[in-house]
Amino acid sequence: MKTRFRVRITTAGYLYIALTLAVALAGVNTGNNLLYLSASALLALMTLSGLLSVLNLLGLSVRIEPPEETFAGVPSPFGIHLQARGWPRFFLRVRLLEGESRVLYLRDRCRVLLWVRPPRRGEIHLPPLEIYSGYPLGLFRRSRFWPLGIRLLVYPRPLPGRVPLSVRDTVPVPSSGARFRPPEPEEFSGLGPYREGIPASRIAWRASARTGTLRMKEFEGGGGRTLILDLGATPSEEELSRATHLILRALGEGYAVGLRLKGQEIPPGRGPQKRRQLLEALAYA
Amino acid sequence: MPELRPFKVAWILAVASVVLPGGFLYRDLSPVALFFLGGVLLWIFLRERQGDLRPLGVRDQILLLLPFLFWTILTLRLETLVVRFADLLLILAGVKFLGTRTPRDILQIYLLGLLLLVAAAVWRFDLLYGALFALETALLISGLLFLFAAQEGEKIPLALARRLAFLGVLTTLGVFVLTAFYFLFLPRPQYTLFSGPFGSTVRTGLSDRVAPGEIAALQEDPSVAFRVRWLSGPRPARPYFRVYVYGNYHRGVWTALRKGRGGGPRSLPGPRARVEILPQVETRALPVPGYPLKVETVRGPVAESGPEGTVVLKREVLEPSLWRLTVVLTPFFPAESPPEDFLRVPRRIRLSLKRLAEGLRRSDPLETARAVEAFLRRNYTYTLSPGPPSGEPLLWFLFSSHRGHCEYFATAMVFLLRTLGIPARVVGGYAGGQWNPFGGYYLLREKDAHTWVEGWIQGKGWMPFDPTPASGFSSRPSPFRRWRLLWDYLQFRWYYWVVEYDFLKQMRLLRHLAGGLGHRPRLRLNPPRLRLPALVILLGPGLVAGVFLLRRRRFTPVERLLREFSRYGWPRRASETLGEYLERVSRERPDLSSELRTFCELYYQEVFGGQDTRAAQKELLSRILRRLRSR
Repeated sequence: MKTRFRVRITTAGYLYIALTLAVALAGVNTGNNLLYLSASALLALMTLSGLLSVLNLLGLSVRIEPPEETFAGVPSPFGIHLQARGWPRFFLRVRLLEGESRVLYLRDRCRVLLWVRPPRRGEIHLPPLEIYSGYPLGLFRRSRFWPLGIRLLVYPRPLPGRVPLSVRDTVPVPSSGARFRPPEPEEFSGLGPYREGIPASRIAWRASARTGTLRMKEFEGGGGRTLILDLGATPSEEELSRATHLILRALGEGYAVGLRLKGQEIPPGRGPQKRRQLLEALAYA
Repeated sequence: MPELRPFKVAWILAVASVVLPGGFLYRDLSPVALFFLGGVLLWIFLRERQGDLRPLGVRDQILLLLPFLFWTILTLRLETLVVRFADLLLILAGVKFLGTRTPRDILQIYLLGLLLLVAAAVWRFDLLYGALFALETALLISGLLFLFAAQEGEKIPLALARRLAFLGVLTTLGVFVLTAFYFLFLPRPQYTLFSGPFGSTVRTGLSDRVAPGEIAALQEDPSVAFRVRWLSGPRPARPYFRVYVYGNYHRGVWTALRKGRGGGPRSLPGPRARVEILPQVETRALPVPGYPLKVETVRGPVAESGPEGTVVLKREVLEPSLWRLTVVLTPFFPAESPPEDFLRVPRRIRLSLKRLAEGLRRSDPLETARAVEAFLRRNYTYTLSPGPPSGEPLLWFLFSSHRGHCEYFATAMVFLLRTLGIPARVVGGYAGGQWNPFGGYYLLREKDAHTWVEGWIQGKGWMPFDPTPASGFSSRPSPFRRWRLLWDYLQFRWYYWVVEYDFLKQMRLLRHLAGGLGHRPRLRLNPPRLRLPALVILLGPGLVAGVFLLRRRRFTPVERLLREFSRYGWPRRASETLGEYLERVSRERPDLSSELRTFCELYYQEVFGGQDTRAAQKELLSRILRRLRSR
């Protein structure tokens, strides 16, 4: 993976450079060797600071672990696995979009969690992961960028509140839009990672405690109540957001959810596959 | 896990970075500045122990600084410009210690420490400066490391702090190595725009106008006057380094000869020696361990042959200088001016000495001179404090006190010989010195200043005589003598390779290195070629400032608030939301709590409510900061 570096001078760094130039100029003007010595030391520290900052970012390998689902404007946890070869690294900061986390000391490997808030729905190309540090003295801030090459599908931002008419009408009325059908039997299909909008009653607490991450019970099948959303041909962003919230909530409450969007229809159903299918349709809308 | 506050370490190192150069320069700095700094630190220490230290606001700090600023302006003189500047730096550091302790304040204190170090370079050239430089560099590097760590985390694990300390030591060593490289190899101009007018303030013990008693006061001064490096030729066991020849005596004062520059022969029998003279004092003449045949100015004021085998300078030495002399180690010096010029005796002295002198007359001038020398050595006592003479100093010495120092003895012998018709003169310089085997040079101290006699021996020339007896007590060799010599050798190396390192030495070093690679570079710099680098150096800061202003990132109000509050000692923790953070700050500053709450709401309205509250945030932030600074 080809990475690139960038260096920025901090305010203290500008001050330091100005001081070095001033002392060097005084040394040249007066011929005073002790001023030369001071200027040489300042220059030496500047060089060494640059060298240490490069060494601090060299020999690092990065692996990114994106979350299963991401929603526009909602912080999602991105796991970043860092591995340092050779020497220890100090005071690293990891940044992706607006999510930032810091690592005070890295000797071998560690995992940091970045809460990233994707700016919009749809497919987005994740920008390079930036690891930067002002180490060792804070005079210069050196960054290293890892191109991730990840295309992330961001679902619309779930928006609670009143559902707009065009959407709400489809919910309870059997004749138009969403139709409730008699509940059908559900089948437990296994455990999956916790996802946005799932009620706490579906969380598998024992499995969560055992694995250290939140796990939830997954069900499949068309049993139980059914909800079909009809968003029409040109839904607004707000309608998509509210529909997302409604789908998440309905699936969490055991509804079989279907969707009509831009002339296409997704038949109602439950389970992670259906959830993904519905959310993807909203993301691409 | 045990933790440590890196900010506290950075603060302690900041105090040390100012106290260290302040202590090093205590002899030169004003007591006002030193007492102020000491008082401030003591006050802070006591108040911190009582737990009621309240930092001064910016306005109070300026008010405190103003009287010192006026005092500095009123006492400003060109020759003490840098010293007064250093005083002001020390006072400014004291005022900063009384203010808030933010990372920016600590950075400013480090800057003051660094400026003190740079200022000291203008008037302190000794090896102790090297020690100060090393210590201050180590302090500043470690301090900056911990300050940076403090900006990254309020507390860090103790193990990480230890690693940082170790890293500080390693970085310091790396900086020393790179400093040496840059110092030796960075391009140097052959000419400077102006020479440093701030030279050593030490005065030599010898001058071209001396009266008995003056050198005695200086003989107790152990400070170094010259180093004479012996490059080649036999080395005398106890050399006499001639500086001045005194021919005229008037009202108790000898005056050095000024006429007859370089009129002597260029070839004399006797072994040759080549020496290098490195001055440590302001002087107009050089110590010569024989008769000079060739005088070469390597660096500094031009030296030339002076009257009667002396070497004089065209102007006084102010900067590090070096001369190379070729001398002949002859017991007899040739006459440049007629020996008869050295026969004059004041009438009153002649009459008083006639009887004593006649009693010392022998068959030939050489025997007579030896008899006079022996008479004075046997019958008179050497002392550093003969007391104030009554009447004519010479007669008082010969017939009343019988005690005196070298000038009395030399004066007495000269007039006894002249009374007997033998031309004689007083010579001033340094006797003996201390041979340093580590550096291969004689160390001439002020206390080695001496006067002796040269008598004219017909057919041979001017012959030296030393009528001054030993002081009566032999100085026991110090158990630390060897260490002192080693220290002086290090001093000498410091001067030779650091203080006096110049374009020529750099060229020599490069040629030497290139010679080792098989060819010799032809490097030559001239002033016109230096115009472009000089222009870059002059315009560089302006360009850097321009780029800085153009590329400066505009901070959002919340970013500015976080930065400013962090400077006031409230850094935001990684785990805190903005609301939690501002709530914590509000607990420390209840007077700001309502503004901070409003600010937080405005920020949330912008981020989560999609409302444009940026202008309101800016306005509120300026109000908060104004109130913060006013306290």
